[in-house]
Amino acid sequence: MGKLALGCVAILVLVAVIAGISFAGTYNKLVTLGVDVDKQWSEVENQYQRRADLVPNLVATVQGAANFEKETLTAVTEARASVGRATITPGKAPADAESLARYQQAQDQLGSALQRLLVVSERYPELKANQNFRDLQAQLEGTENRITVARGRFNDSAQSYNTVLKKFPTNLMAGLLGFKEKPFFKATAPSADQAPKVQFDFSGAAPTAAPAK
Amino acid sequence: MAGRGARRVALLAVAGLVIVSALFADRYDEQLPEKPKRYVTDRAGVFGPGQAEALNAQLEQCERDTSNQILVWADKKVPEGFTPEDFTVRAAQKWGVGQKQGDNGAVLFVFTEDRKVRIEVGYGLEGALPDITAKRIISDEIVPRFRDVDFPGGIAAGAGAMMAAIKGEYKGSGRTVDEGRRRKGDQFGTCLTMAIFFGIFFVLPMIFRRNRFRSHGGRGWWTGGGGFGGYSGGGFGGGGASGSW
Repeated sequence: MGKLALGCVAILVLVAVIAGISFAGTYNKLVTLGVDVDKQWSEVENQYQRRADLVPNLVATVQGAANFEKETLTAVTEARASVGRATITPGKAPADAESLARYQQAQDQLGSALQRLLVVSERYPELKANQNFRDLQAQLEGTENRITVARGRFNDSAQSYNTVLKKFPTNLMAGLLGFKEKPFFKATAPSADQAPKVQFDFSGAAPTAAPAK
Repeated sequence: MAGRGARRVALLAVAGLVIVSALFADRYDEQLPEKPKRYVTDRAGVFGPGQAEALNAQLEQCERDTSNQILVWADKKVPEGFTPEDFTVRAAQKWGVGQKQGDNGAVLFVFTEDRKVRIEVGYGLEGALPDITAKRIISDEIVPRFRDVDFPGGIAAGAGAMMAAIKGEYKGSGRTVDEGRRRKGDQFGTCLTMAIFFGIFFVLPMIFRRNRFRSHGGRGWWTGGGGFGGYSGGGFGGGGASGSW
């Protein structure tokens, strides 16, 4: 009789210990993956910042070109400013899909304004011949590419985290421990996850460079 | 018994998780080519006899002198399902070109039929070989020669300019990673590494089978053999430049 009770207690203790280890394991795993998501996020922020930092230089260079389209320049400057306002807690991945979407929208706006700037600049031969402008263009291209890479890696890490989170039995414990699903970047523009590609086709368009006087 | 049932479920969950996470991690990786065995890989057949070997020897000497690893990868087309830039950064990252501490690798990719060229630069070389320099190497050294259908000349000039740009950024040890590893007693070292890996990844989880684990793909380990195999896991973040002709 006593032996049976002792056996039951032993089994209960064993189950409790196993459950405890499992609980700790789950917790640690989610923390590790969450840290990785934050790390990848800061790389995303980093690269977007790098792009934003290029803007003043680019605008200054382009302004030097005679009669550069005011509209295009204003759009870039405004988009740059709104990106500055759309920051989330730095170094920490956004907690909800909504704030990520807001961030993404601001950044995409700057992206398309810059793309437009590059397209328009094709009409200004003096700009195309300007070494400074070409260097900035190369940097911008490189940065867009880095952004694509950083975003892709962030999405991968967020998805690994989410996959673990949603699996049994982690899903049962995750709620208790206060872990939530991480949002990730959605493909927006027509060109899915790619850096904007500039198409140079102005065969029909008449050059609108500095008016001859 | 309930305990045994739960344990079985947990075991199944572990197995399922390992399989799924492996699939998940390798979604793209498995479509990427294996690590090249040499500095120069010519899948497009652009090099004449002896040319690839000559460039290979130059790049090997470059690693001895500076510890920078520069690879050349020439193919006809970008593999299906990848954009050029997507492919190049994934491949360079997967191969782990460059020293792990320095991330000082760079790869010159050429796709002859797609008429695409890209210089992929590892994190550690982004200072010495910034996008601007990479772009200039492409537009001044490579593209003009490619336009004249001189692929070997363009590739050699491009690789030469890359070597010149990054010279002195890192100090070499006088030998390549591959040679360094061979010198340290190749069989014993490899066996020991394998044993440790086995211990970490198989024995420990069996003991603590409650602790689910997931393999972190990408960083393979060297398995011996002659020639070039000395990757040590340099990281890439999409630096460099692209061009076409």
